[in-house]
Amino acid sequence: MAPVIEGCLWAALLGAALSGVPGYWDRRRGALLGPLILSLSAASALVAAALVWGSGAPVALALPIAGAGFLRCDGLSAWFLVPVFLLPALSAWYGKAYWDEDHHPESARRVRLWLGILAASMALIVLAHHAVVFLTGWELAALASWFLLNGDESSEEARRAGWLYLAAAHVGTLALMAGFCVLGGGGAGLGFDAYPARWADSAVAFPAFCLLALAFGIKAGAIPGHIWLPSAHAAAPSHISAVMSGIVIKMGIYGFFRMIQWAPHPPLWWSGVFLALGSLSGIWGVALALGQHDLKRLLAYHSVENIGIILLGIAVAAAGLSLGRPALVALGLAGGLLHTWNHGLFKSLLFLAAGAVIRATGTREMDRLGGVGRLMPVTGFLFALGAAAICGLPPLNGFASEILVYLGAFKGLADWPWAGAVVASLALIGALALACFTKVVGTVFLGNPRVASPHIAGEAPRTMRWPMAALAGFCLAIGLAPSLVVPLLKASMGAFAPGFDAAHGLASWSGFPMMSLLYAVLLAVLLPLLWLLARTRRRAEVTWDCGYAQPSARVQYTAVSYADGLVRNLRWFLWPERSKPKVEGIFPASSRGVVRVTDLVMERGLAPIANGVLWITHRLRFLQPGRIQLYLIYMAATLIFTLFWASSHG
Amino acid sequence: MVELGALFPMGWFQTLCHVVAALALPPLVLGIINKTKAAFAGKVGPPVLQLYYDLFKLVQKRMVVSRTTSWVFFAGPVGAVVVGVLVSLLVPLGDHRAPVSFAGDMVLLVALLGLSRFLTVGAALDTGSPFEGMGAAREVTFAALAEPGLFLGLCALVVLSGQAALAPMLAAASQAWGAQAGTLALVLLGWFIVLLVENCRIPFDDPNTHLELTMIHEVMILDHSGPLLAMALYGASMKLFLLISLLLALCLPRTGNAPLDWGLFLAGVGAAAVLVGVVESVIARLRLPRIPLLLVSAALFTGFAFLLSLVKR
Repeated sequence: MAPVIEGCLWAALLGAALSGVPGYWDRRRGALLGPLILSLSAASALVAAALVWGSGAPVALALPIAGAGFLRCDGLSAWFLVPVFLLPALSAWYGKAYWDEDHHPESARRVRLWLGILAASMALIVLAHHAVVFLTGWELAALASWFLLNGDESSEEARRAGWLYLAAAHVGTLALMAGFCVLGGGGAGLGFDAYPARWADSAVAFPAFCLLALAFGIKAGAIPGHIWLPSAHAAAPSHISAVMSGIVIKMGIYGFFRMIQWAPHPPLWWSGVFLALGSLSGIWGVALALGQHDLKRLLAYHSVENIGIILLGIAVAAAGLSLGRPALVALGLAGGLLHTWNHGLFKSLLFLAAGAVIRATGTREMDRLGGVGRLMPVTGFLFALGAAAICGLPPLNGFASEILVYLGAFKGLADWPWAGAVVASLALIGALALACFTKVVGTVFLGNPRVASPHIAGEAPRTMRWPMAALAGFCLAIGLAPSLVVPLLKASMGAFAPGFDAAHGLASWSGFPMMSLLYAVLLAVLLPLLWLLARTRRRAEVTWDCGYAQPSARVQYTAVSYADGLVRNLRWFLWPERSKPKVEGIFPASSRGVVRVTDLVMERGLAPIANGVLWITHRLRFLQPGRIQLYLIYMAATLIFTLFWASSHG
Repeated sequence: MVELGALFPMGWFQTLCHVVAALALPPLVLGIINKTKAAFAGKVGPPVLQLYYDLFKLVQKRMVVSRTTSWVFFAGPVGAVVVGVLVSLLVPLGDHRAPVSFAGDMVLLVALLGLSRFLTVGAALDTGSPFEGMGAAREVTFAALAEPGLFLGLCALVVLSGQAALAPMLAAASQAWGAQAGTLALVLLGWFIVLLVENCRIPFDDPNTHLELTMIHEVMILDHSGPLLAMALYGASMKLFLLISLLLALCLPRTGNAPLDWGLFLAGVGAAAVLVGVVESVIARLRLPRIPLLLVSAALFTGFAFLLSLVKR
């Protein structure tokens, strides 16, 4: 079986990496061939993943010259391979209409090329079994995302966001290099085989944990490493935002899962760190999302929130490993892994649907939209479905993964009281997400059209609709019958912790089948009610307006007012800036009131520090006047100093 | 930790009793509340069965539907009833068991209530009315602040009972009044506040108010009429009934004799309805900015209950 798997994986890797190349010979056919080749790669990767799960043993891939030991596919890699190929493939089809040759003649084929390279480089990350390969994939993925997010070259916003992204990504890469160096010390080398032994040494484990957690945290967008994420996701073309949010940030999560796998007996404080990162990202992320007026920025902050939920699952698993409670490990890992898939599915769906709206109206400002659901019914329905899924509502997939984390936390309460914080955080996150997504659905898709909605000419083209429908189908399928993914989860978790049985607490749990049963009851209750409504006569009228004679679309509750109650209640950590409109006299002049929720980490934390550094370096500019003689003197002085220093230290 | 998650632990007759009670009783609770309030006000008040009459009348009427609305407008009331039925299968009633029970089912219960809220709020926003938008915004705001209190109470009960499924957890907790009275009392207190806010009762919302600007739940269903309004009202009454049952499961004694247990349960429902009526009669509705404070205190009550359960374990 191993040669088949190896062949499939190489086909997927090479196919994805080269999928954009034909477009450089023939624009028209390239537009079709790119998504097609990427889809075939995805199919090939799915076959490989299924075979790896089926065989239960990791498969090593030999590199042409360097030989074996660099690439390996185990259950965990297989779990991540699925979205790594599936989401870019679906986005590529969507992009065929969304970012087409006619409207973007310069960048369409470049975006296609880098999208394929991005998928291949992420596959390289999850298949890597050696630090150098991992870092290569990591850097390639970062660069590919940067090229993609600059798809629109004329956009200053995208360039600024790209700059911030590049800086953040490289801080992460530096930390990652340092971390791998720490782990590779003591003659261990850079292969991942030696890592479990190295993690057991606490003198190595502490600095390595800090460095890797920094790198993976920045990539995943966990607060406070999220600073690059909102602007990057907002500025990128929507199908690229879908890929970045759906899977690129999950590479950080993949790293966290690998750390747990390398260190099967982590100290208990690890789970504390994961809990702190998770609840901070979750609660603050969703609170910041509540304050956004820009549709895509809001969705971006929800990625931060969902990364928090995944980290809470990892926290439960880490606590289970430290305390020797296999049930917690199984539930925490399963919840975290499943939520990784689920978030990839519904967040891509939401970004694609948002992209369809933005393409039709030309604005991302929610308060300029409204009533879009009646003009674009399919997009509206799919967005509402994704919104319900991201709020963790049954019978959709978000709930299936969240209940696993909840259950793990409930079971851990007796030994690990901090599980109470996991439960309370999840509860608050879920309820705030519901508030935020009712705001989005209500403001953008329901009600009366506001200023920008009349630009809508009709529903999105079919090439854009079916990838969204496919994602929605996955959300529904996993939600309605979550038992289907349990065997895959078990096979993926087989790689973790020697002696840990993934079946623990999952296979014996009757929750998933019972949930499916209840959803069947749901249908049975639904049908008679619909019958009753269908036979009722109805009369069309205006909405109850309290007798007001001239209702206008502008009297509707806006997104800002909808969220204002919660923003006020959370003001002690959101610090919203607000200016009240002046209403004076009998005939008040026109006036504006603004509520702005800014990112404290960026605006009050990092930006002032960066400005301080800039100020100092400006003052030191005289050292670098651009005269070559001076630089030669510097070099000579450094050499002399080094010689003296070396000789005096023998 | 023992799992009591076998498929359908109850026989068909008990299940039938359970479902019939869950479907038939809810409107009665509102009747009792209104009678109590009338008694406090020195009036005769509407008959106890008034909501049944109203529902019967509304189902036969035709609907007035706003031209602004879409399918979402219908999803709200339908969702409220469907969720009510599903939740009723998870909550233990008279014989302290639930037809469907598995570890973690309380998360499903809360998530189902969330689904109902999502749809109700969506239906309200679908009309494009500023009043209904206002009600929807208040609903999600207060629900978000109530959620941690609900879940911290669950944490306390999980620790106290060692069970992760709702019905066995509540059954075990109700036996622990001797050892852990403080924990249980705090959970009850916190959850009673959550019950009042979830069902939009005084001091959070006045269901009888006359001005759209002051309402929460009633304003969200302002545009629903006929069978849709009937569904919205029935769904809301089911939610109240089921949350009352949840609280009752914590404090009712168990005799082991099924008819006696059911009798106790019915008496308990009546008493709880009277209690809600008394609360509504003796205190006024809070100013909106004060409501979050009460909700945070609910979370503090259940949070302390959780800590207490850990200490006294």
